[in-house]
Amino acid sequence: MVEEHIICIGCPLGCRTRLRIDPYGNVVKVTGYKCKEGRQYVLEEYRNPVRVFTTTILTQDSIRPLLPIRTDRPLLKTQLKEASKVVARIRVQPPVKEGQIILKNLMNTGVNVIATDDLLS
Amino acid sequence: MPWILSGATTYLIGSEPKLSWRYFHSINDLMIHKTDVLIVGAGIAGTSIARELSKYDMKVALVEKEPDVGWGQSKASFGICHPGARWPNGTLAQRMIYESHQVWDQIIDELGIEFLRIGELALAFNQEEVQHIQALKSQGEKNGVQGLEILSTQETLQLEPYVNPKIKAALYMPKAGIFSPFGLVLAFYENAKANGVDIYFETKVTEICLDQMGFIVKTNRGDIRTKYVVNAAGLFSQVIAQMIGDNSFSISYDTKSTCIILDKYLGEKVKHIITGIADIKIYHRFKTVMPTFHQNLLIYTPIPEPSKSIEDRSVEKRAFDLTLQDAKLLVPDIDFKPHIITAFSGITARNNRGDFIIEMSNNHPGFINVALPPPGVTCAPAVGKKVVEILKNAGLPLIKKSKFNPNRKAIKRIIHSSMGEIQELVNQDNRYGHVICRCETVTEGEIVEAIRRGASTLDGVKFRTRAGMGRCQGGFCTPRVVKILARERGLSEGEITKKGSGSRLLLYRSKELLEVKN
Amino acid sequence: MKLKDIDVAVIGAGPAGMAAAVRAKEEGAEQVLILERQEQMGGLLHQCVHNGFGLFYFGQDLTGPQYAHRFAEKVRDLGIRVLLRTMVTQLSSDRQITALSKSEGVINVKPKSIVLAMGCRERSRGQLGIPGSRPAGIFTAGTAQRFVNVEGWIPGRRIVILGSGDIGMIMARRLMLEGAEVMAVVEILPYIGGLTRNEVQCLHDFGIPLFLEHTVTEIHGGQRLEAVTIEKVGRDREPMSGTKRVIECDTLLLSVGLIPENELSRMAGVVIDPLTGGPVVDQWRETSVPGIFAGGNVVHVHDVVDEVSREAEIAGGSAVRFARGGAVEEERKILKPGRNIRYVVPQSITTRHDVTLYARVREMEEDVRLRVGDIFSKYFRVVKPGEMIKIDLTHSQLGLLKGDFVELSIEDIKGRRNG
Repeated sequence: MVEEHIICIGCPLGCRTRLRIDPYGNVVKVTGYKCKEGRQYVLEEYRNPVRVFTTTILTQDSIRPLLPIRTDRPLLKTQLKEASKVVARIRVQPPVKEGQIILKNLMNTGVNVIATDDLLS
Repeated sequence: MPWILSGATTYLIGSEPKLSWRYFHSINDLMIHKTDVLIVGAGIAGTSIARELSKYDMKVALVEKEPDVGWGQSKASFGICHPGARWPNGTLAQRMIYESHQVWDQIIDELGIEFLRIGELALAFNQEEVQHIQALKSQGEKNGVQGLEILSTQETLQLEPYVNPKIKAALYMPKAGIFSPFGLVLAFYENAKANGVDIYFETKVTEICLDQMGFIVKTNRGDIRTKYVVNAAGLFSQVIAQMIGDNSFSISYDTKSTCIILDKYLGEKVKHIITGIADIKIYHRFKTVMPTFHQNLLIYTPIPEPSKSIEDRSVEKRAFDLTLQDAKLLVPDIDFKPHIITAFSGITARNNRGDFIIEMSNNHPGFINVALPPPGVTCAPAVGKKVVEILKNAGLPLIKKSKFNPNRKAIKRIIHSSMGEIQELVNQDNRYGHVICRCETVTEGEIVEAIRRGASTLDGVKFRTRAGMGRCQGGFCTPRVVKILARERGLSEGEITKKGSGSRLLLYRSKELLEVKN
Repeated sequence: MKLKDIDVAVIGAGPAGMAAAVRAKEEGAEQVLILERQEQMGGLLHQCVHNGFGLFYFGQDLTGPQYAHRFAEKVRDLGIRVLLRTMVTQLSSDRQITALSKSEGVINVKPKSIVLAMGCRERSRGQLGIPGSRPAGIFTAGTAQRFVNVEGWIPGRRIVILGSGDIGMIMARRLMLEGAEVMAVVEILPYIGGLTRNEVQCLHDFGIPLFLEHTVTEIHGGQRLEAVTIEKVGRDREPMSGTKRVIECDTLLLSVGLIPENELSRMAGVVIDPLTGGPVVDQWRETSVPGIFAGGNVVHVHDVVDEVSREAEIAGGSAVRFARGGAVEEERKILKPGRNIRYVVPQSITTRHDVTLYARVREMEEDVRLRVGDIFSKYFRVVKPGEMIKIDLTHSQLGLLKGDFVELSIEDIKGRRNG
């Protein structure tokens, strides 16, 4: 039996919940929550902890050194570090429009990297 | 003939033109250079002496270990121009003050020095203190100070409504004034430079040897041969003197003092230099609540804190708290805490003789020692003249230059200009319309001019233009100033430093830390 | 250059200024002008590359630049005039604006009404009085954010962050994702200053140690930062002996508070509330000077950008009505902060219209009831200074108020909950 600690971010209380996990990875018990939305959140967070990845990428031939980008869908939180290294190798040239796909299928996750601002010059 | 490159004149010597300061900084080869007079230290003393010497036909060089002028004690001065009542008659300090006052008006005008004659009120809270200020008045009158008057509580409050109403009386010294201390050093330096003085920054004297011609002064940048040396090295003047075996004085630097700078919002509430007695027996020790030239409020009380080293500028909590406490006694109705901008400490070099030292060394007639405890700033002009006199007595021929230009203009500041003047400036150069530092209203034009005149670091720009000295302490303008410095100096932003080598601001480029290292 | 016939002039083109200008135009103002000191619209949004913006305003999860983009497009589409690289240097109580512009030089304009939307600045090291030397390597979190997200520079590789406000925590994550190492986040209170979400997604996700009830007591380093000393503090927020810890680092980020930027407001004689640091306003966001309105972080520091825009819209709408000549004198009630309430905005209201009140508590408390006079009460499981409280009141509720003052207070009801 393993115990996972997850803080619920649903409301300012930030309940510190505890999840008991059996050897097969199933959640056997959840304690420490104060509402059903919170319980739902921590279960989801345990099974599938995802984060939208936002960062900047380097430009080329532009007065602006950086272009802000984001993933169009969340990645697993464990993939963020690798994602940083992957996008660090990209160089983007103007013109780019906000919303444009910069990199398709990042790290084979099916998630795309898109520009969150224009890069006009 | 040195190749002129946007203010880098002072860096380039020898016959080969160099392309950038960065290239210069990487040169380790020796430069053999000769001069007639070498001044060590570009503080208020050194620059004033340099300017005075630049009136005569001779080669003068000034070496300074920091990247800019006045970075020793001078920039931490409060900038008070003392009328001269506080120093005993017969001391060299008092004489220097008196002689300086004979020429200050002229020099302030010639050099475009930022100065305001706002007057001082020395407060007395009880009978003993009233006697102190009465004695101060007598001493002042003996020293030739004009306009001294003892005021009643009512009269004082009329001049200065925020003063503690519990005072019994105050000594009014109308001739007192305030300089912008860094501006003062800059004024002397720029005029000296314009009149041919060579100035070398980040040049530290490591050894002084004697030969039959005079001195060989060794520095981290090479050797300089000179007939005369003026030791104006402030905190380090003892170290420099000892290089020729002169142990005639010592500098104490085991105590430092702290002052607090507050928002201009408070600076507007106080119109005079307000002082309180710090030691009933000593007339030149005082606590103060005063406006600075730039309208901040400055508060200070002499609390000697032990310093850890000669370069220790750290602010201790105890000193900070006591300074606030003491200031409250002078102006109880001013709420300081919400308006504090910053605090800084400095070590004031006091020497073991308790007076100014401006004299020929006993070890060598061509070596002049200059060690000025406070009030160095007030005495700048007379100190310069006295050193020239001593050099003359040591055999230096003084032939007046026909082409000496006594005039120098400060950088035109938007904040002090009329709308019409600003519009004209912008028409000539639209960078004067681009505000970079919002707290002090400093424009790109002023910053570019400061760089042209020699600022090479973020602090250099700060001290010359005020950008970064306001409420937000550079929070908004720093990235922009860094950009301008990089552009004007032909460097990358990562090479810009806060205060000289070893103090780069931005250590890595974006993504550099993510790159796979091979 | 003299600009004439301006109905509404907005100072600042951030999320507040843009929203105010857009609302003013939408409500029929003919000539709307925005004066902005930076090179583009958007204010600080451009350096906020993270998401979480626009959830309420646009119903989408956007990054800062995306949020700015939406508004900037609206500004352009509506034909609002924007002067960039233009800094307002003077503001008088009779609405005379003097500004300095790179392209136009000196600009004078006296609009029919003004909206102050200058936002806020960060508290600096100097104001904290942290003892120690003055090396390079100390930045406020916002300045560091600009370097990292806009200029393309990482200040250092071993970072300590003082303050657990949202900006500090977000920068902790940002720097980790850029390959730096955040050694510690140090917070003087027993709880974080920002949102729990950021504690999880910025600190826990990256294994960054959080030192609660600690503060930086000394800075070490000659030319560049070398280390900081941190110490635990007691209830009096003073360092406790024997708890010193030295952390080697090359960068210190300060995230220790935001201060509304009201120099221009003071110049115009606008009365400032010492509790917020911003102008005293009524529910229309009019300041003590008729015709001068204010909205956004310049009034009080918000948590969420959407609320900044919402509040500024009120100011924009009111500015247009004033410009058209509709100044209605209504009876006002003054809102007073009571127990455990740090401030309330707006500081005065009428009882004839619905209103939304914004408040912050002084200290964290659990199991409490918020009361507005005796017309409204609401139970809260927890209240924290870092999470603003919004209260919507209808004019029927307000109609029951008696007297000139209304007090907002927090009542501790631990164990005595009655639904």
